[in-house]
Amino acid sequence: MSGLDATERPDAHTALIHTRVGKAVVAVLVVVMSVWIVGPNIPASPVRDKVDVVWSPAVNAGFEQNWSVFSPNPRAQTLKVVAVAEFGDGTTTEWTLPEFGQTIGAYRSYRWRKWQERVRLDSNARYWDSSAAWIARDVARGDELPVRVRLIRRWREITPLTASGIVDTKVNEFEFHVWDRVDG
Amino acid sequence: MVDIAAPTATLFERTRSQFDAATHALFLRKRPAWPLAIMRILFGLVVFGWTTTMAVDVASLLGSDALVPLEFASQGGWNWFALESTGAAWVAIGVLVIASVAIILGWRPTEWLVVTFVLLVAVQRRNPVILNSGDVLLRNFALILAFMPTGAALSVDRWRRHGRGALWTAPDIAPWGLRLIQLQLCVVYFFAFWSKGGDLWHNGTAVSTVFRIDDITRFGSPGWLTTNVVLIGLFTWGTLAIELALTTLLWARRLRPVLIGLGFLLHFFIDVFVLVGFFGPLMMIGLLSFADADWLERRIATRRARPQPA
Repeated sequence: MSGLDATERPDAHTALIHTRVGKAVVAVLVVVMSVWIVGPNIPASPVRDKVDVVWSPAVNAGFEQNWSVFSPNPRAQTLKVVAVAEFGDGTTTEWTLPEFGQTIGAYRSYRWRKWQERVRLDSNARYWDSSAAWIARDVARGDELPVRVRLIRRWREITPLTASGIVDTKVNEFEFHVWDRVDG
Repeated sequence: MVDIAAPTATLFERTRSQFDAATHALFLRKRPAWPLAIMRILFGLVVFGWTTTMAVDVASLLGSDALVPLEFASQGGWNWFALESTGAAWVAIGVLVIASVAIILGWRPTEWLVVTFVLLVAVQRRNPVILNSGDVLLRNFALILAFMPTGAALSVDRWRRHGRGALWTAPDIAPWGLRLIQLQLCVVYFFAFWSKGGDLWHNGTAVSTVFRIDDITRFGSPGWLTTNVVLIGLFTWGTLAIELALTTLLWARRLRPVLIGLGFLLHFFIDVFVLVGFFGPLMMIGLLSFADADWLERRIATRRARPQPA
Protein backbone atom coordinates (compact mmCIF):
# COMPACT_ATOMS: atom_id res chain seq x y z
CA MET A 1 0.00 0.00 0.00
CA SER A 2 1.35 3.40 -0.96
CA GLY A 3 -0.41 6.76 -0.69
CA LEU A 4 -1.43 8.34 2.61
CA ASP A 5 -2.93 5.43 4.53
CA ALA A 6 -5.22 2.44 4.12
CA THR A 7 -8.31 4.60 4.65
CA GLU A 8 -7.66 6.83 1.64
CA ARG A 9 -10.75 6.80 -0.58
CA PRO A 10 -9.95 5.43 -4.06
CA ASP A 11 -10.47 7.54 -7.17
CA ALA A 12 -13.59 6.96 -9.28
CA HIS A 13 -11.73 4.85 -11.87
CA THR A 14 -10.29 2.55 -9.21
CA ALA A 15 -13.52 2.44 -7.19
CA LEU A 16 -15.17 0.71 -10.16
CA ILE A 17 -13.26 -2.51 -9.48
CA HIS A 18 -14.66 -2.79 -5.95
CA THR A 19 -18.18 -3.74 -7.03
CA ARG A 20 -19.61 -6.43 -9.28
CA VAL A 21 -21.39 -3.90 -11.48
CA GLY A 22 -18.26 -1.76 -11.65
CA LYS A 23 -16.19 -4.73 -12.78
CA ALA A 24 -18.75 -5.44 -15.51
CA VAL A 25 -18.50 -1.79 -16.65
CA VAL A 26 -14.70 -2.07 -16.74
CA ALA A 27 -14.92 -5.32 -18.74
CA VAL A 28 -17.24 -3.73 -21.32
CA LEU A 29 -15.09 -0.59 -21.59
CA VAL A 30 -11.88 -2.58 -22.02
CA VAL A 31 -13.39 -4.87 -24.68
CA VAL A 32 -15.01 -2.01 -26.64
CA MET A 33 -11.92 0.20 -26.54
CA SER A 34 -9.66 -2.73 -27.49
CA VAL A 35 -11.81 -3.45 -30.56
CA TRP A 36 -11.76 0.26 -31.45
CA ILE A 37 -7.96 0.33 -31.16
CA VAL A 38 -7.21 -2.88 -33.07
CA GLY A 39 -10.12 -3.14 -35.55
CA PRO A 40 -9.45 -0.16 -37.85
CA ASN A 41 -5.92 -1.45 -38.43
CA ILE A 42 -7.08 -4.68 -40.06
CA PRO A 43 -5.97 -4.60 -43.73
CA ALA A 44 -8.64 -3.97 -46.38
CA SER A 45 -10.49 -7.21 -47.14
CA PRO A 46 -14.02 -8.56 -47.63
CA VAL A 47 -13.99 -9.62 -43.97
CA ARG A 48 -13.15 -6.11 -42.88
CA ASP A 49 -15.91 -4.67 -45.05
CA LYS A 50 -18.38 -6.90 -43.22
CA VAL A 51 -17.31 -6.03 -39.67
CA ASP A 52 -16.08 -2.44 -39.81
CA VAL A 53 -19.48 -1.25 -38.62
CA VAL A 54 -18.24 -2.28 -35.16
CA TRP A 55 -15.57 0.42 -35.01
CA SER A 56 -16.98 3.00 -37.43
CA PRO A 57 -18.56 5.01 -34.54
CA ALA A 58 -15.08 5.45 -33.05
CA VAL A 59 -13.56 6.48 -36.38
CA ASN A 60 -16.43 8.90 -37.01
CA ALA A 61 -15.88 10.42 -33.58
CA GLY A 62 -12.21 11.04 -34.40
CA PHE A 63 -10.58 8.01 -32.77
CA GLU A 64 -8.66 6.93 -35.86
CA GLN A 65 -5.83 4.51 -36.62
CA ASN A 66 -3.25 4.64 -39.41
CA TRP A 67 0.31 3.87 -38.52
CA SER A 68 2.03 3.14 -41.82
CA VAL A 69 5.14 5.32 -41.52
CA PHE A 70 7.72 5.28 -44.36
CA SER A 71 5.92 2.32 -45.86
CA PRO A 72 5.88 0.12 -47.76
CA ASN A 73 9.05 2.06 -48.75
CA PRO A 74 10.10 5.59 -47.81
CA ARG A 75 9.30 8.20 -50.48
CA ALA A 76 12.10 8.09 -53.10
CA GLN A 77 11.84 11.78 -54.00
CA THR A 78 12.87 14.97 -52.32
CA LEU A 79 10.43 17.69 -53.23
CA LYS A 80 9.63 21.37 -53.07
CA VAL A 81 6.60 23.40 -54.12
CA VAL A 82 7.26 27.01 -55.09
CA ALA A 83 5.06 29.70 -56.59
CA VAL A 84 6.10 32.41 -59.01
CA ALA A 85 3.91 35.50 -58.69
CA GLU A 86 3.81 37.94 -61.58
CA PHE A 87 2.73 41.55 -61.02
CA GLY A 88 1.10 44.00 -63.42
CA ASP A 89 4.42 45.80 -64.05
CA GLY A 90 6.04 42.58 -65.25
CA THR A 91 8.11 41.97 -62.11
CA THR A 92 8.01 38.55 -60.44
CA THR A 93 8.61 37.21 -56.98
CA GLU A 94 9.14 33.61 -55.87
CA TRP A 95 7.17 32.30 -52.90
CA THR A 96 8.55 29.37 -50.92
CA LEU A 97 7.34 27.59 -47.81
CA PRO A 98 7.89 29.55 -44.59
CA GLU A 99 10.74 28.24 -42.38
CA PHE A 100 10.63 28.47 -38.60
CA GLY A 101 13.89 26.97 -37.31
CA GLN A 102 14.94 23.47 -36.36
CA THR A 103 14.01 23.10 -32.70
CA ILE A 104 10.54 24.32 -31.65
CA GLY A 105 9.92 25.79 -35.12
CA ALA A 106 10.31 22.33 -36.66
CA TYR A 107 6.92 21.32 -35.26
CA ARG A 108 5.39 24.31 -37.06
CA SER A 109 7.33 23.76 -40.29
CA TYR A 110 6.21 20.14 -40.48
CA ARG A 111 2.56 21.16 -40.99
CA TRP A 112 3.54 23.28 -43.99
CA ARG A 113 5.71 20.46 -45.34
CA LYS A 114 2.72 18.13 -45.10
CA TRP A 115 0.69 20.63 -47.15
CA GLN A 116 3.52 20.69 -49.70
CA GLU A 117 3.73 16.89 -49.83
CA ARG A 118 0.00 16.58 -50.54
CA VAL A 119 -0.79 19.63 -52.64
CA ARG A 120 1.74 18.66 -55.36
CA LEU A 121 -0.22 15.51 -56.22
CA ASP A 122 -2.50 15.49 -59.26
CA SER A 123 -5.05 13.65 -57.15
CA ASN A 124 -5.27 16.79 -54.98
CA ALA A 125 -5.89 19.23 -57.85
CA ARG A 126 -8.93 20.54 -55.98
CA TYR A 127 -6.59 22.43 -53.62
CA TRP A 128 -4.56 24.16 -56.33
CA ASP A 129 -6.68 27.19 -57.16
CA SER A 130 -7.37 28.16 -53.55
CA SER A 131 -3.70 27.62 -52.63
CA ALA A 132 -2.54 29.89 -55.46
CA ALA A 133 -5.11 32.53 -54.45
CA TRP A 134 -3.84 32.41 -50.85
CA ILE A 135 -0.24 32.78 -52.06
CA ALA A 136 -1.34 35.77 -54.18
CA ARG A 137 -2.69 37.44 -51.03
CA ASP A 138 0.47 36.49 -49.12
CA VAL A 139 2.83 38.16 -51.63
CA ALA A 140 0.55 41.16 -52.38
CA ARG A 141 2.28 44.55 -52.40
CA GLY A 142 -0.10 46.51 -50.26
CA ASP A 143 -3.43 46.32 -52.09
CA GLU A 144 -1.86 45.15 -55.33
CA LEU A 145 -2.35 41.46 -55.98
CA PRO A 146 -0.22 39.68 -58.57
CA VAL A 147 -1.93 39.17 -61.92
CA ARG A 148 -0.77 35.59 -62.15
CA VAL A 149 0.56 32.89 -59.82
CA ARG A 150 2.23 29.79 -61.23
CA LEU A 151 2.54 26.75 -58.95
CA ILE A 152 5.68 24.74 -59.63
CA ARG A 153 6.83 21.44 -58.21
CA ARG A 154 10.54 20.66 -58.09
CA TRP A 155 11.74 17.20 -57.27
CA ARG A 156 14.81 15.03 -57.30
CA GLU A 157 14.81 11.23 -57.39
CA ILE A 158 16.56 9.53 -54.48
CA THR A 159 18.39 6.48 -55.76
CA PRO A 160 18.76 3.51 -53.41
CA LEU A 161 22.05 3.10 -51.57
CA THR A 162 24.29 0.51 -53.23
CA ALA A 163 27.69 -0.98 -52.32
CA SER A 164 29.29 1.67 -54.53
CA GLY A 165 27.47 4.52 -52.80
CA ILE A 166 24.71 6.83 -53.98
CA VAL A 167 24.12 8.43 -57.37
CA ASP A 168 23.44 12.18 -57.64
CA THR A 169 20.34 13.04 -59.64
CA LYS A 170 19.21 16.27 -61.28
CA VAL A 171 16.37 18.49 -60.09
CA ASN A 172 13.22 18.30 -62.21
CA GLU A 173 10.68 21.07 -62.49
CA PHE A 174 7.05 21.12 -63.62
CA GLU A 175 4.48 23.92 -63.62
CA PHE A 176 1.31 22.25 -62.41
CA HIS A 177 -1.14 25.11 -62.04
CA VAL A 178 -1.66 28.70 -63.18
CA TRP A 179 -3.94 31.11 -61.33
CA ASP A 180 -5.01 34.32 -63.04
CA ARG A 181 -6.41 37.29 -61.15
CA VAL A 182 -9.99 38.02 -62.04
CA ASP A 183 -10.76 41.75 -61.75
CA GLY A 184 -14.23 42.97 -61.26
CA MET B 1 -13.59 -47.65 -20.51
CA VAL B 2 -11.45 -44.78 -19.19
CA ASP B 3 -13.30 -42.07 -17.33
CA ILE B 4 -11.97 -38.73 -18.65
CA ALA B 5 -14.63 -36.54 -17.05
CA ALA B 6 -12.75 -36.00 -13.77
CA PRO B 7 -9.33 -35.08 -15.26
CA THR B 8 -11.04 -32.82 -17.81
CA ALA B 9 -12.92 -31.02 -15.06
CA THR B 10 -9.70 -30.59 -13.08
CA LEU B 11 -7.89 -29.22 -16.13
CA PHE B 12 -10.79 -26.88 -16.81
CA GLU B 13 -10.78 -25.64 -13.20
CA ARG B 14 -7.01 -25.12 -13.22
CA THR B 15 -7.12 -23.23 -16.53
CA ARG B 16 -9.97 -21.10 -15.29
CA SER B 17 -8.22 -20.20 -12.06
CA GLN B 18 -5.01 -19.36 -13.97
CA PHE B 19 -7.03 -17.19 -16.35
CA ASP B 20 -8.72 -15.44 -13.41
CA ALA B 21 -5.36 -14.81 -11.74
CA ALA B 22 -3.84 -13.44 -14.95
CA THR B 23 -6.85 -11.21 -15.61
CA HIS B 24 -6.75 -9.94 -12.03
CA ALA B 25 -3.04 -9.13 -12.26
CA LEU B 26 -3.47 -7.45 -15.64
CA PHE B 27 -6.52 -5.28 -15.01
CA LEU B 28 -7.27 -5.11 -11.30
CA ARG B 29 -4.14 -5.47 -9.14
CA LYS B 30 -3.49 -1.97 -7.89
CA ARG B 31 -0.16 -0.24 -8.20
CA PRO B 32 1.22 3.23 -7.38
CA ALA B 33 0.03 6.09 -9.58
CA TRP B 34 3.49 7.62 -10.21
CA PRO B 35 4.00 6.60 -13.88
CA LEU B 36 0.49 7.74 -14.79
CA ALA B 37 1.00 11.10 -13.08
CA ILE B 38 4.29 11.64 -14.94
CA MET B 39 2.61 10.66 -18.23
CA ARG B 40 -0.20 13.14 -17.58
CA ILE B 41 2.21 16.02 -16.98
CA LEU B 42 4.29 15.21 -20.09
CA PHE B 43 1.17 14.73 -22.20
CA GLY B 44 -0.13 18.13 -21.03
CA LEU B 45 3.18 19.68 -22.09
CA VAL B 46 2.87 18.11 -25.54
CA VAL B 47 -0.71 19.39 -25.92
CA PHE B 48 0.57 22.84 -24.85
CA GLY B 49 3.38 22.65 -27.43
CA TRP B 50 1.04 21.41 -30.17
CA THR B 51 -1.48 24.16 -29.46
CA THR B 52 0.94 27.07 -29.16
CA THR B 53 2.78 26.11 -32.35
CA MET B 54 -0.62 25.97 -34.06
CA ALA B 55 -1.73 29.28 -32.49
CA VAL B 56 0.89 31.26 -34.41
CA ASP B 57 -0.57 29.92 -37.67
CA VAL B 58 -4.29 30.18 -36.90
CA ALA B 59 -5.00 32.70 -39.66
CA SER B 60 -2.90 30.87 -42.28
CA LEU B 61 -3.96 27.30 -41.50
CA LEU B 62 -7.35 27.44 -39.75
CA GLY B 63 -8.93 30.83 -40.46
CA SER B 64 -11.71 31.87 -42.84
CA ASP B 65 -9.14 32.83 -45.50
CA ALA B 66 -6.69 30.04 -44.79
CA LEU B 67 -4.44 28.20 -47.22
CA VAL B 68 -7.02 25.41 -47.30
CA PRO B 69 -10.51 26.95 -47.49
CA LEU B 70 -13.46 25.98 -45.31
CA GLU B 71 -15.06 23.95 -48.09
CA PHE B 72 -12.17 21.46 -47.85
CA ALA B 73 -12.58 20.83 -44.12
CA SER B 74 -12.88 17.09 -43.53
CA GLN B 75 -16.39 15.95 -44.37
CA GLY B 76 -15.96 12.46 -42.93
CA GLY B 77 -17.19 11.52 -39.51
CA TRP B 78 -19.13 13.45 -36.95
CA ASN B 79 -18.33 17.12 -36.73
CA TRP B 80 -18.36 17.86 -33.03
CA PHE B 81 -18.56 21.44 -34.11
CA ALA B 82 -17.21 22.95 -37.28
CA LEU B 83 -14.70 25.79 -37.02
CA GLU B 84 -16.28 28.05 -39.61
CA SER B 85 -14.49 31.30 -38.83
CA THR B 86 -11.13 32.58 -37.65
CA GLY B 87 -12.81 33.57 -34.37
CA ALA B 88 -14.06 30.02 -33.77
CA ALA B 89 -10.58 28.67 -34.46
CA TRP B 90 -9.13 31.13 -31.93
CA VAL B 91 -11.68 30.06 -29.29
CA ALA B 92 -10.81 26.38 -29.85
CA ILE B 93 -7.08 27.11 -29.60
CA GLY B 94 -7.61 29.26 -26.49
CA VAL B 95 -9.59 26.53 -24.72
CA LEU B 96 -6.96 23.96 -25.73
CA VAL B 97 -4.26 26.08 -24.05
CA ILE B 98 -6.36 26.24 -20.87
CA ALA B 99 -6.98 22.48 -21.09
CA SER B 100 -3.27 21.74 -21.48
CA VAL B 101 -2.40 23.82 -18.41
CA ALA B 102 -5.16 22.11 -16.40
CA ILE B 103 -3.83 18.69 -17.48
CA ILE B 104 -0.26 19.62 -16.54
CA LEU B 105 -1.40 20.85 -13.12
CA GLY B 106 -3.80 17.96 -12.60
CA TRP B 107 -6.92 20.08 -12.09
CA ARG B 108 -9.90 17.91 -13.13
CA PRO B 109 -7.73 16.23 -15.79
CA THR B 110 -10.35 13.66 -16.85
CA GLU B 111 -12.82 16.37 -17.87
CA TRP B 112 -10.11 18.42 -19.60
CA LEU B 113 -8.82 15.36 -21.46
CA VAL B 114 -12.27 14.82 -22.95
CA VAL B 115 -12.43 18.52 -23.90
CA THR B 116 -8.96 18.20 -25.44
CA PHE B 117 -10.02 15.20 -27.55
CA VAL B 118 -13.15 16.96 -28.85
CA LEU B 119 -11.27 20.18 -29.67
CA LEU B 120 -8.34 18.39 -31.30
CA VAL B 121 -10.77 16.55 -33.58
CA ALA B 122 -12.49 19.85 -34.46
CA VAL B 123 -9.22 21.68 -35.17
CA GLN B 124 -7.63 18.81 -37.08
CA ARG B 125 -10.73 18.24 -39.22
CA ARG B 126 -10.71 21.93 -40.17
CA ASN B 127 -7.50 21.37 -42.17
CA PRO B 128 -6.88 17.70 -43.00
CA VAL B 129 -4.13 18.56 -45.53
CA ILE B 130 -1.57 19.30 -42.79
CA LEU B 131 -2.26 16.25 -40.61
CA ASN B 132 0.39 13.73 -39.60
CA SER B 133 0.49 10.57 -37.47
CA GLY B 134 1.51 12.54 -34.38
CA ASP B 135 -1.72 14.58 -34.59
CA VAL B 136 -3.88 11.45 -34.66
CA LEU B 137 -1.89 9.86 -31.85
CA LEU B 138 -2.31 13.03 -29.76
CA ARG B 139 -6.10 12.87 -29.85
CA ASN B 140 -6.16 9.09 -29.31
CA PHE B 141 -3.98 9.44 -26.22
CA ALA B 142 -6.25 12.24 -24.96
CA LEU B 143 -9.29 9.97 -25.12
CA ILE B 144 -7.56 6.91 -23.67
CA LEU B 145 -6.00 8.90 -20.82
CA ALA B 146 -9.51 10.05 -19.90
CA PHE B 147 -10.17 6.44 -18.85
CA MET B 148 -7.45 6.64 -16.22
CA PRO B 149 -7.16 8.34 -12.82
CA THR B 150 -4.51 10.72 -14.15
CA GLY B 151 -5.08 13.20 -11.33
CA ALA B 152 -4.41 10.65 -8.59
CA ALA B 153 -0.87 11.93 -7.93
CA LEU B 154 1.25 15.05 -8.47
CA SER B 155 -1.91 17.08 -9.02
CA VAL B 156 -3.88 20.07 -7.80
CA ASP B 157 -6.78 17.67 -7.22
CA ARG B 158 -4.70 15.65 -4.73
CA TRP B 159 -3.43 18.80 -3.03
CA ARG B 160 -7.00 20.11 -2.62
CA ARG B 161 -8.25 16.79 -1.28
CA HIS B 162 -5.39 15.83 1.05
CA GLY B 163 -3.22 18.91 1.55
CA ARG B 164 0.21 19.91 0.34
CA GLY B 165 2.00 17.05 2.09
CA ALA B 166 0.10 14.53 -0.05
CA LEU B 167 1.73 15.86 -3.21
CA TRP B 168 4.72 13.58 -2.64
CA THR B 169 2.64 10.49 -2.08
CA ALA B 170 0.79 8.44 -4.67
CA PRO B 171 -2.21 6.23 -4.01
CA ASP B 172 -2.56 2.78 -5.52
CA ILE B 173 -4.72 2.74 -8.63
CA ALA B 174 -6.39 0.08 -10.77
CA PRO B 175 -4.38 -0.42 -13.96
CA TRP B 176 -7.20 -1.32 -16.37
CA GLY B 177 -7.06 2.04 -18.19
CA LEU B 178 -3.29 1.84 -18.46
CA ARG B 179 -3.68 -1.40 -20.47
CA LEU B 180 -5.53 0.52 -23.16
CA ILE B 181 -2.68 2.95 -23.75
CA GLN B 182 -0.25 0.02 -23.74
CA LEU B 183 -2.41 -1.72 -26.34
CA GLN B 184 -2.51 1.44 -28.48
CA LEU B 185 1.28 1.69 -28.25
CA CYS B 186 1.81 -1.93 -29.27
CA VAL B 187 -0.68 -1.57 -32.15
CA VAL B 188 1.25 1.45 -33.45
CA TYR B 189 4.55 -0.44 -33.33
CA PHE B 190 3.09 -3.60 -34.84
CA PHE B 191 1.41 -1.92 -37.81
CA ALA B 192 4.40 0.38 -38.34
CA PHE B 193 6.46 -2.84 -38.60
CA TRP B 194 3.85 -4.76 -40.64
CA SER B 195 3.44 -2.03 -43.26
CA LYS B 196 7.18 -1.80 -44.00
CA GLY B 197 7.06 -4.54 -46.63
CA GLY B 198 8.96 -2.72 -49.39
CA ASP B 199 12.23 -3.86 -50.97
CA LEU B 200 14.24 -1.03 -49.36
CA TRP B 201 13.33 -2.28 -45.89
CA HIS B 202 14.05 -5.86 -46.89
CA ASN B 203 17.44 -5.12 -48.46
CA GLY B 204 18.51 -2.93 -45.53
CA THR B 205 18.83 0.48 -47.26
CA ALA B 206 15.55 2.25 -46.34
CA VAL B 207 17.08 4.45 -43.63
CA SER B 208 19.54 5.91 -46.17
CA THR B 209 16.59 6.97 -48.34
CA VAL B 210 14.70 8.43 -45.35
CA PHE B 211 17.70 10.55 -44.32
CA ARG B 212 18.06 11.91 -47.88
CA ILE B 213 14.50 13.22 -48.20
CA ASP B 214 15.62 16.84 -47.85
CA ASP B 215 12.15 18.26 -47.24
CA ILE B 216 11.71 16.28 -44.01
CA THR B 217 15.23 16.42 -42.57
CA ARG B 218 15.55 18.37 -39.35
CA PHE B 219 19.16 19.09 -38.37
CA GLY B 220 20.50 18.22 -41.81
CA SER B 221 21.21 14.88 -43.43
CA PRO B 222 23.88 12.80 -41.63
CA GLY B 223 26.11 12.30 -44.70
CA TRP B 224 28.54 10.03 -42.81
CA LEU B 225 25.69 7.64 -42.23
CA THR B 226 23.63 7.73 -45.43
CA THR B 227 26.46 6.26 -47.54
CA ASN B 228 27.74 3.66 -45.04
CA VAL B 229 26.20 0.39 -46.23
CA VAL B 230 26.98 -1.54 -43.04
CA LEU B 231 25.66 1.09 -40.63
CA ILE B 232 22.59 1.73 -42.78
CA GLY B 233 21.82 -2.01 -42.83
CA LEU B 234 22.18 -2.09 -39.05
CA PHE B 235 19.87 0.92 -38.61
CA THR B 236 17.28 -0.31 -41.14
CA TRP B 237 16.95 -3.86 -39.82
CA GLY B 238 17.48 -2.56 -36.26
CA THR B 239 14.42 -0.33 -36.68
CA LEU B 240 12.33 -3.30 -37.79
CA ALA B 241 13.67 -5.46 -34.96
CA ILE B 242 12.98 -2.81 -32.31
CA GLU B 243 9.46 -2.15 -33.63
CA LEU B 244 8.66 -5.87 -33.53
CA ALA B 245 10.23 -6.30 -30.09
CA LEU B 246 8.27 -3.34 -28.71
CA THR B 247 5.09 -4.99 -29.96
CA THR B 248 5.68 -8.30 -28.26
CA LEU B 249 8.58 -8.46 -25.80
CA LEU B 250 7.59 -5.31 -23.86
CA TRP B 251 5.17 -7.56 -21.99
CA ALA B 252 8.10 -9.63 -20.66
CA ARG B 253 8.93 -7.95 -17.35
CA ARG B 254 12.66 -8.77 -17.36
CA LEU B 255 13.25 -7.35 -20.85
CA ARG B 256 11.17 -4.24 -20.29
CA PRO B 257 13.84 -1.78 -19.05
CA VAL B 258 16.12 -2.58 -22.00
CA LEU B 259 13.29 -2.31 -24.51
CA ILE B 260 12.01 0.97 -23.07
CA GLY B 261 15.59 2.28 -23.40
CA LEU B 262 15.80 1.07 -27.01
CA GLY B 263 12.43 2.65 -27.78
CA PHE B 264 13.59 5.99 -26.36
CA LEU B 265 16.79 5.75 -28.39
CA LEU B 266 14.87 4.96 -31.59
CA HIS B 267 12.52 7.93 -31.21
CA PHE B 268 15.28 10.29 -30.12
CA PHE B 269 17.37 9.34 -33.14
CA ILE B 270 14.44 9.75 -35.55
CA ASP B 271 13.47 13.09 -33.98
CA VAL B 272 16.96 14.50 -34.34
CA PHE B 273 17.20 13.78 -38.06
CA VAL B 274 13.64 13.58 -39.39
CA LEU B 275 10.54 15.76 -39.07
CA VAL B 276 7.82 13.61 -37.51
CA GLY B 277 5.89 16.23 -35.55
CA PHE B 278 4.85 15.23 -32.05
CA PHE B 279 4.84 11.50 -32.88
CA GLY B 280 8.19 10.79 -31.19
CA PRO B 281 7.52 12.58 -27.88
CA LEU B 282 4.08 10.93 -27.66
CA MET B 283 5.48 7.45 -28.25
CA MET B 284 8.06 8.07 -25.50
CA ILE B 285 5.23 9.10 -23.16
CA GLY B 286 3.41 5.91 -24.14
CA LEU B 287 6.50 3.84 -23.27
CA LEU B 288 6.37 5.28 -19.75
CA SER B 289 3.13 3.35 -19.24
CA PHE B 290 5.34 0.27 -19.00
CA ALA B 291 7.52 1.81 -16.26
CA ASP B 292 7.70 -0.21 -13.03
CA ALA B 293 5.41 1.67 -10.64
CA ASP B 294 6.53 -0.32 -7.58
CA TRP B 295 10.19 0.43 -8.30
CA LEU B 296 9.39 4.13 -8.65
CA GLU B 297 7.44 4.08 -5.38
CA ARG B 298 10.41 2.47 -3.59
CA ARG B 299 12.85 5.05 -5.01
CA ILE B 300 10.65 7.97 -4.01
CA ALA B 301 9.99 6.49 -0.55
CA THR B 302 13.75 6.07 -0.02
CA ARG B 303 14.37 9.70 -0.98
CA ARG B 304 11.57 10.87 1.31
CA ALA B 305 12.97 8.86 4.21
CA ARG B 306 16.41 10.45 3.86
CA PRO B 307 17.04 13.12 6.52
CA GLN B 308 16.79 16.59 5.02
CA PRO B 309 19.72 19.00 5.53
CA ALA B 310 19.02 21.51 8.27
